[in-house]
Amino acid sequence: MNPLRHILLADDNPRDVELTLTALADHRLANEVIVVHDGTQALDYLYHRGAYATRPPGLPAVVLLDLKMPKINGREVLRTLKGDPQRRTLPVVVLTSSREAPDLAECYRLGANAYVVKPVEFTNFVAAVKQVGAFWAILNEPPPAVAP
Amino acid sequence: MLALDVSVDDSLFPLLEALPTASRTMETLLVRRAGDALLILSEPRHRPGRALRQYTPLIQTHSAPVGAGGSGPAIVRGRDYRDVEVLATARPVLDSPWLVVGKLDLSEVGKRWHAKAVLILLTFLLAVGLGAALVVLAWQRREQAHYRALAEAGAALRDSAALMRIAGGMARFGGWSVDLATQRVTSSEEVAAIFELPPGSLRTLEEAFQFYAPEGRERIRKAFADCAQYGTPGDEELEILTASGRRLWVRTLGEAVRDETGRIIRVQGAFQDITDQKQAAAATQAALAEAAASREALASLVEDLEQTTLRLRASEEQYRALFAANPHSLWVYDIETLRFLAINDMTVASYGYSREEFLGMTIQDIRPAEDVPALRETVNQAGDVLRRSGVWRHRRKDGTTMLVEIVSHALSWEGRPARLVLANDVTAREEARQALEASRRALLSVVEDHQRVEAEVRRLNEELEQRVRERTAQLEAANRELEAFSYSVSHDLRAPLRHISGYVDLLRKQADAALEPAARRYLQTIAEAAHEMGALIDDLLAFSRVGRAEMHRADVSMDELVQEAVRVAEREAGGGRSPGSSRRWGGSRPIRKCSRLALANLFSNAIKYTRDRTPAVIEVGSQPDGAMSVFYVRDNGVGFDMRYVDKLFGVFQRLHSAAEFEGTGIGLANVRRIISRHGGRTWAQGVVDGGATFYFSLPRPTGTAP
Repeated sequence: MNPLRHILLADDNPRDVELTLTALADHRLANEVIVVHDGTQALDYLYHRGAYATRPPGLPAVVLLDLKMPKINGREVLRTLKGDPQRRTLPVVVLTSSREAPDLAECYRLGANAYVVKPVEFTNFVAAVKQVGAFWAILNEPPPAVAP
Repeated sequence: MLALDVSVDDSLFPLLEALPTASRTMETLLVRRAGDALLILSEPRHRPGRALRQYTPLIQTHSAPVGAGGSGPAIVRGRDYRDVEVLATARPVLDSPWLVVGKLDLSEVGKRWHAKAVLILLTFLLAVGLGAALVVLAWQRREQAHYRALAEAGAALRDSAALMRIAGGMARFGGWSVDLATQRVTSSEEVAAIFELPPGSLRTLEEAFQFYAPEGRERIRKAFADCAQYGTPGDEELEILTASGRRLWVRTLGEAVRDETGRIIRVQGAFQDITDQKQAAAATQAALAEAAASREALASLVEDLEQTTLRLRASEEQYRALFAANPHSLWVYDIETLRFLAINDMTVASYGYSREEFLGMTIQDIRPAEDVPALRETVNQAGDVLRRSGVWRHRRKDGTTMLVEIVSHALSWEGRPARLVLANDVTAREEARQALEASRRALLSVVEDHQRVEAEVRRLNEELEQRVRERTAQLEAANRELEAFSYSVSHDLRAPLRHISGYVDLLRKQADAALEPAARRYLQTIAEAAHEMGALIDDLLAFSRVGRAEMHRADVSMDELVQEAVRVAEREAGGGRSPGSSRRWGGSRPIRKCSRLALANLFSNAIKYTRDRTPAVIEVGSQPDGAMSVFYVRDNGVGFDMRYVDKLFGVFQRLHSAAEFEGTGIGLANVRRIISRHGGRTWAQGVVDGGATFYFSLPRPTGTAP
């Protein structure tokens, strides 16, 4: 098993972020969770740009991506990552309130690895986040390391 | 008959001695024996002009020859051609059938008895001898002349043969001969020339036949065969092909030559190129034909002329009749005096004036006074030959007027310039035309009205279409807004709910032990409210999505639908309940998706509202109604008050509290929306606590049973 790799959570809503982090912590996931609040920060982080130009190297185990974000939205982030041969293999789980068919279709077309609708019921929400985190951050074997 | 015994010496010596003596009767004749008769060659003395006439006999002897047995010629006594007793002697002319006969009348002999008789006889004999010598001389001369003539004739013949050759060459005329025994052909140079062969090269009969054109070959063969076998003379005019291939007409003549036994040994004949003659004949024929044709043409011309004259005479009469008896009014007037010169019967009948009256009038007299200036102007116009002057008013004798259409034509009438006028009464027509014009104008105005109305309708239609377009655009915009709204609802409205739910949960976990039971209930209520709100949002989104649902058939039958609905109902009811009555609904036909959605919804409602019924009875069915199929779902549940029937199908409208029957109030609104989008209708009947029946209709797909 890999040393615990971190999780990148991109969500502009601080309540959702808190609930997600609570859910992950509730499952005692020891992985570090990096939180960004919009698509620009997410890409900056992943490409070592701007505020993250000096961060330590290494890609997250998984990106939990909200669709509706200011500036660059989640769809754009997804398109950029999956269109870049260097980042294409990075697992991206779309975590969103929308259960609209067009959103689903579009995300899968762009190459999302999973699409999870945030349940209204908190219990269900916690369960969903736990499962996503456990699967992608622990169980899933990431692709061979790429030089970011 | 006088019988006299005369001694020759006595009788003739004196004659001879007396020579020359003039004997009255002595005669010397040159004769030729012709059978029993004698032909006198010289002129008889006593019958002048009788030379070369036969006399039989010349001298009828009736005694032995006088002096027979003597050395000199015998002297006989007999009767000569005059039947006179004569003494005669004869001597043959050498080398000829001729005789010289001398004779003397016995009467003369009797007169001179001795001396004279002897003399006469001697003279006679001398004369005979002289005559014979003369005859011999004459014969010889004649022979010479004969041979000379023969020689000359031979020369002439040679000359004429040469001439013949030249003539033959010029006339292209030759001779030929075929020896039947050897079949060899001999022919003249002209024959070869006609065949265009070297002279003498034509050898066999077959060669000769081959020169004849194929169509005539059989005929010449047969003609030759007939001639060679039966001696039938042949004369054929046929075409040949010469050695150089020219086509010529030839005449071939042939005749049989027989030997002394009558056998045919040769066939010979003539051969002539008659091409020129043929052509000349043909030309002549053509000229004759032409002449005949000319003669016929001339005859026919003469005949035509006669007929034309007849026709002219007839047509002159016809034209006169055409004028007089014409059913239109016709007249002729003098251009200068305007007087009527001729009027036809119809004019007299139409205008009421007699012919005599007309002849004393001018054409102004049949016009109303006010039209006369216009008439003068028209008449004075330098004339077109044919002039259509249009419609004029004419006045009859009785003062009434009529409208006439005038057509006139210039002509010379008895040497004066005149016009022939045709007046056609168009009063009725003009009136009809005016009426027609009026009605046309009326119609035109109707048409114009109609067109105005049409334009107005068109304009309204265009406005309407424009409005429809605008409304459609607005509707599309509204739809887009609705989609954006539903997206927003889906995303933004659910997030706060989730947060409420999440934080309530967190709070309960953190502070559960410290909370009063009431506070715990409050938190529970908050969580439930959030949950309900989530369910509402989901239903609302489903409702908005109905608008975007596709229309298509689902491969599901009524039976399957009922079973599925029952299963769903059982699951929702918590499994503690089974339907009181479930019977086979009886339809395995695939149904439309919209019907299915509607039925599922109604079925689920029915199950919900029969929850406390035992047994619960739910009936599903359909029946045709014109072009529609009507579906219904009937239950024996709680029913409803018909006063609120209008609210049943409204969004979020409920007739029961959530405590009685859970629900968001959107199910029936969905049903109505689905059905109306597919051209159908929804309605319901119910009685409080007496059950309810929900109906919807859908257009029946064409060609299928309900």
